[in-house]
Amino acid sequence: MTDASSASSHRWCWTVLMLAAVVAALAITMAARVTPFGDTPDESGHYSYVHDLAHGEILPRLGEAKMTVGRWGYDPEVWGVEDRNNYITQHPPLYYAIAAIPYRVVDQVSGGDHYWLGLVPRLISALSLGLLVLVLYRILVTVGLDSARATIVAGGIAFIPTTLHLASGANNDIFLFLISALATLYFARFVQQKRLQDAYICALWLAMAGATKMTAWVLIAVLGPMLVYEMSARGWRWWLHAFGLAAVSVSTAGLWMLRNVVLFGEPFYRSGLDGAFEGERHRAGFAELLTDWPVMEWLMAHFHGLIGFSGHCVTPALQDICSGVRMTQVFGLSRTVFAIVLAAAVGVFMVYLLAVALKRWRQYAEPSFDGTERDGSVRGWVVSRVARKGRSRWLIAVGALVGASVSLALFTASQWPAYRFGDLHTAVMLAPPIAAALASPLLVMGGSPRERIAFYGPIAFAVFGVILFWQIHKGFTILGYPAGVHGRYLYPVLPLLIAGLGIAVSGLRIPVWFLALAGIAMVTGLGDALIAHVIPFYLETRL
Amino acid sequence: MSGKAWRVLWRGLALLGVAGLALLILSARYDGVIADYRLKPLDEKPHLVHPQTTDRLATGVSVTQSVDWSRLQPHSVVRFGDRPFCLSFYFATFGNADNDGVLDVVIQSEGRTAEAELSVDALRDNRFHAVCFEALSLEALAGEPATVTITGRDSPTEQAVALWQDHENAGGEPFIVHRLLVKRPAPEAREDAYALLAIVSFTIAVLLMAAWRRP
Repeated sequence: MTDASSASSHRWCWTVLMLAAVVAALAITMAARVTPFGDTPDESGHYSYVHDLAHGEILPRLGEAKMTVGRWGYDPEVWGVEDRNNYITQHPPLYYAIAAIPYRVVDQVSGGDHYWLGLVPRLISALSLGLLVLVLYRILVTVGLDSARATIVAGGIAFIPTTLHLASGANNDIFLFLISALATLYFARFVQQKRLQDAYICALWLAMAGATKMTAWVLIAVLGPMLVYEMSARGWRWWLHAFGLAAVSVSTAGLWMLRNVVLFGEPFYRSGLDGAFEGERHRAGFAELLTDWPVMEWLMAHFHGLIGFSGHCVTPALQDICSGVRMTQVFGLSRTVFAIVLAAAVGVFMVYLLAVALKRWRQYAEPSFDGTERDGSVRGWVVSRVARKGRSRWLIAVGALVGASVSLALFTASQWPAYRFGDLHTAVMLAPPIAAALASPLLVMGGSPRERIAFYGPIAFAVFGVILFWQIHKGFTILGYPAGVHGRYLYPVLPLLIAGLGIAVSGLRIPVWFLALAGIAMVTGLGDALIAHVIPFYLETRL
Repeated sequence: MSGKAWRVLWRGLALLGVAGLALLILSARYDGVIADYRLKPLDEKPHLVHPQTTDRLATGVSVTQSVDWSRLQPHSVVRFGDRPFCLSFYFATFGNADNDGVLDVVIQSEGRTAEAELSVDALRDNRFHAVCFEALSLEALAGEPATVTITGRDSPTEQAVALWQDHENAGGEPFIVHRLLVKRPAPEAREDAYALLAIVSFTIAVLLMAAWRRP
């Protein structure tokens, strides 16, 4: 990065500030006016967790904590007292602890007004979405994108109906997205500038992510080793900082695991794991799961637009009159635009990756090529070994072959969605294995810091994807149907992928008007989703 | 006024102008959808199995269908009994051709009769369109045997629309596809919709301004 661009990267442009404010306003409007209380995923549990912390209960225990009786103003005398366990207390407490502070204040100021109390945890999510746009912008500028392109790309994530839906409810997903983006920002700075201070700040944000949701532990397991892999130091200093970074990164996750071991005897203890499963297990392989169930379709469709949760049936007493649909997928303009824009984004990234692979192939073919790097990092050591005499071109071919094979296997096993552009969705889902398998050899074959940031994205995404599929399959063997098939679990790794996309957009010089058109199409699609699908859905299910 | 102040003023006006234009376009596009917020469906959307259209409802052509109460959701009468009853029908307009005229809709039950009308040129192909009977509440009618008759008042055959009907199975009697609804005020939802459209319009303007700025 030149000095000039580096200096400009420290300035905020007014358009991104305005965009972040507008996105936050959109989420706040949804939270305050449109989304019924209880109609975002597990909102009863998330709200009750905040309520318990605000009332002085330090770390409510899974199995003992209950859903708050009388939440959102429903009258226990009319609807009955509910005695339901709060399974959301399986999550680490950071989001809830932060939300509990304004909750306590609002409780005192408003005299316990149920509407305002219900709104407080939602506002944390809504404001997190606005801040997320700003942090993504910083990431994109840090990796070399100009402010116009960075503004548009950063805003894109907020134009997805599911993101906005979650930002309008009480949950830790958007907050975790924000924290993960902050970790990614400092990771990108560290890879480019090699300042240990940035590595430690990244580790600190990883620790914050670990204190927010167990999903983030996967990010720690991926980004933590990447920090150590990139770190340059000599002798014992290397070991000291490697230990330091690892210790900071895993600190909160480790504490939560320790608590789980002490209380439940299992570090990864979650709701539903009480005792061994005694029913008959559904013995089916992963291929059968993909063939029999539209897992790929659901992942993408739910990532794009899954609205609702309870259909307003927030207590067992209300179940009787809340028959019918409780959630809905968003179809129409929004999904069509999303399919096209996502396919274009993945296409841009894949072209960039192939261009880098071609460049590296040619470099390695030159007899005079010497790719050794001696910067005191593990990465430098690995690259120097691989690059010796330039004989390792075959790694690229092997990577491409492995990735293509995995994609082909997924392609063969998966159902193809019947809706419009569903084939485009499936095609997009097949890209990550190829991208990851291509990025892995490229990472050990050298490259500029920006190129390496672009390589880390698909690798981290692939690790996340494997664990997500493993969990889905595990649930499938117990329940007989796939549960938890939702793209939101991938939020922690998305900032790194978005950084990679920014690098590809910059490298391939994608015209800013092209991006603006895509952004405007997505916003228009979001408007269509809200007016023609989301509000009518709530009107139909709301009591 | 300094050059910088002029720039800020110019940007602000441009932003508001573009946002206003976008809001006008979006409002025109979604006015009909937002107007329908006043309708509360009381049944699940039906799945068509063997659909086919009726004859075109040209001048004097009628179709009659008994109201299917079996799909009315539980507790509907308790919750919405005092609201005006509405029915929606699934129309075929043959590619939104230049349709014209009026449809008379009459519902009859146990001596009660109510009438309403639908403007043919407002109907769109393969969509539900509702007609409400202001003088007839849901509780006055629910569960009672009732028939609805739709008659073309003044449409030439080539400008007349038709209704989709379905067979529960290939050998069954055809029935005209319809949904049960009530009319209820939803002023807040309409306000929310326009507020969201305004924010979406402003977002479009911000994106355009972002692209307009030179890096």
